[in-house]
Amino acid sequence: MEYTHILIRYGELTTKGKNRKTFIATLYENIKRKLYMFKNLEYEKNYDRIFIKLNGNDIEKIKKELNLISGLYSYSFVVKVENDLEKIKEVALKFALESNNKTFKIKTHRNDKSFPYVSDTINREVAGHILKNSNLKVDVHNPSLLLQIEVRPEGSYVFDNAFKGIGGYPLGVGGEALLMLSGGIDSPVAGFMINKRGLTYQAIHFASPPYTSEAAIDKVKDLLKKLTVFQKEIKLHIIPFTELQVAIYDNANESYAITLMRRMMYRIASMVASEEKCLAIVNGESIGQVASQTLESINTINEVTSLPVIRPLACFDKLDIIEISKMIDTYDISIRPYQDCCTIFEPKNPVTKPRIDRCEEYEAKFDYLSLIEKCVKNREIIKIKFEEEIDEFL
Amino acid sequence: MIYFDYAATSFVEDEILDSYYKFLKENFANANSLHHLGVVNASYLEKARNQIASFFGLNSKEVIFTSGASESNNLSLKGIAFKYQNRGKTIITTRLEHSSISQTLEQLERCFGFNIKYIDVDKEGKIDLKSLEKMIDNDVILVTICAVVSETGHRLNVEEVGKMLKNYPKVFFHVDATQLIGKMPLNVENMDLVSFSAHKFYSLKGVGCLLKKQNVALEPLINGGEQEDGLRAGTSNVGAIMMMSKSLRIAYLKMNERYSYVKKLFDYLYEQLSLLEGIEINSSLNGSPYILNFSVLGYRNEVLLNEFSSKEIYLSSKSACSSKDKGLSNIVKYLYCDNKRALSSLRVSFSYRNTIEEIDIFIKNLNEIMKYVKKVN
Repeated sequence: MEYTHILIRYGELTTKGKNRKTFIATLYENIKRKLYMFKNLEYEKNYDRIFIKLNGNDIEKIKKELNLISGLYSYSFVVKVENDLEKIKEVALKFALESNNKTFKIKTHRNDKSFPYVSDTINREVAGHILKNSNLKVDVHNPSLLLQIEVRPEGSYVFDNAFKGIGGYPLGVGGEALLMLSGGIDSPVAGFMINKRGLTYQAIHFASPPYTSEAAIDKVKDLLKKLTVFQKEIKLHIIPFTELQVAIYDNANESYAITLMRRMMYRIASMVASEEKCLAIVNGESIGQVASQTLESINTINEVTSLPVIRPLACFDKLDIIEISKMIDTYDISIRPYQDCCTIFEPKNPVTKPRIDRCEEYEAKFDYLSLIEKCVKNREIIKIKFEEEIDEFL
Repeated sequence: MIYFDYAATSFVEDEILDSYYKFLKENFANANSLHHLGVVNASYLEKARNQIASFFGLNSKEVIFTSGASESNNLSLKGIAFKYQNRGKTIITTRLEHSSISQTLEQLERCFGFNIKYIDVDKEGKIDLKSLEKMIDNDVILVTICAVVSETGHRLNVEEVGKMLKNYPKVFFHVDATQLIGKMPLNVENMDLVSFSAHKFYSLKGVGCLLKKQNVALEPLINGGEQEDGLRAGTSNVGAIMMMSKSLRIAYLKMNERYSYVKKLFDYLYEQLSLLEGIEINSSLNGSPYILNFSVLGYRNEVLLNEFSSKEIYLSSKSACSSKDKGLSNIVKYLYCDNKRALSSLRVSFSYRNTIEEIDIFIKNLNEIMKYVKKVN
């Protein structure tokens, strides 16, 4: 069947009272941005639906993108016809003939009350037409083809499919968090997950030049650029971490280096968060994945901050995380092989059950507070924006 | 001077030349170098890749940069042949392909024991899907068909072929779209590999592209580096690639406008030629308007070309890549089974810069030349 439009439903969203208008406007913008690579789509939004005219675009590809938009409840590919019962019958029959189904049912939703036939009449008329002209039989309980008809003022929509979106809330309606972004596979997925709940985020990245390269920072920027299809602008804080990192290695037992480094990162992130009015720290930690992510480690590390730390991936398996990262198209960037500040100076035997008192002992040996303040003060701030705009050389 | 040989190559647009000069002055580093300059150039390269991917609705990993369409064609055919030869050794093609396809296949047949089969194309450029389907057996691993025939401009029904071939997941489908890209839209959805070259759409020579779907693996032809996902070693030609992307963007922007203008030129020349005696038109009205091929019966095309050239009118007899052989066009011969017609064929190929006045001058000269040049048998 040659579908002409996509019909998008907001679902749960429609019950949200006064915020409704903002929610829908945000969702509308997010959908447009997510589908920007499809040329000549035409959009139309109204009270309870968004319609997108396909103009021949590939529906399988569009489906992939729609499945990643938060706040989108469900959608269908539909054929639009004039509000004329004969035309509706004709299209419905075409659906029936082109499908391989043996039984069918018609379900009409008459939104346009000026249409001269009530839903039940439309059901009967269309079903009669199909019965007369095809081999399909009616089955109202368990039809293999469920044909739906929506009669609206601007036209009628006939369709045989409905797909569930990821739900959640449209982005930008839930406040802001600070995402710790290393450049690996997990953290971009964590960013996507909180976007899905309607939160926006800023990102913080720790760089240790010359031990980490410019290419590693580029990698982070490229990741964020990918993520701007979900959140159109992301503020990135790049922390010059070298001096502090070297100080840790000079003052602590090697096996404690990672734990101490993570404590410092949390402290810095908390300070940046409070300056930027972010209400939570988010990261890609997954319980047990590495030494610093055992429950004992998380406990020891988390102790330095009073901000809520959200770990959307805490209970995910690595393979599931990889699957999502492929879906949101960050995987290929994440696996670029550059050193980040967690992988340089990697200790041979990191401690898996670090003790808070030992950490405090090491930290007392040097003036980490002034080093942290320096990190925060000298951070570089870059805004990564969604761009369709073209480079001067392109 | 009148230039009617745009299917061979085009001028470079001023905007491209200026931009290229400016870009190259600043950005000369190797995109694989780890230092700042290299990283900057690598990011330019990826931007170009993303942009080109977006024109075709592809993922950026599906865009491979090459030195041009001939290399893209070689890489596709040999790359598939070498990679999948244990699945089968038969390749299906047409008699209308560019020499970088036909001779590559000939090499695969001669040196590597592949079997080449030919599917018929009718005078309107249509391939009968049922006949093609009949040719597909367990040994077929690849079908390669051009989108627009370089000599005659016939538009082949590659989209339909691609759709049909989806029923044969073992068979890869390559499309040589060199004479189409930048001039007409192409839906690459059901194609596994698509070749094209930048210099056909007013950009630089020495750079081209192979669109390669992610499910396709190729054996590289040039080994020695990790560039282009390990498929094509050699320092990336970032400047030229940027310009290819830019030219393609402009081409898409102006595609409709240019197409309808050139279609007017085509129709006008077609009409003028129809009024002359002894002319047979070898192109189809449903083909690309950018190419009009016709035969001046009884005359050797080489002689005509020389005469036109002395009057500063430049056209060709067939694809520039095979025009060093004798003047006979195998493609015209195949389509019309007529040696006389194949020996006297000329190809006029347009750009948006040609004019109706140029066509008038051309027709006037053709009339004169036909009067004083001797016919041959």
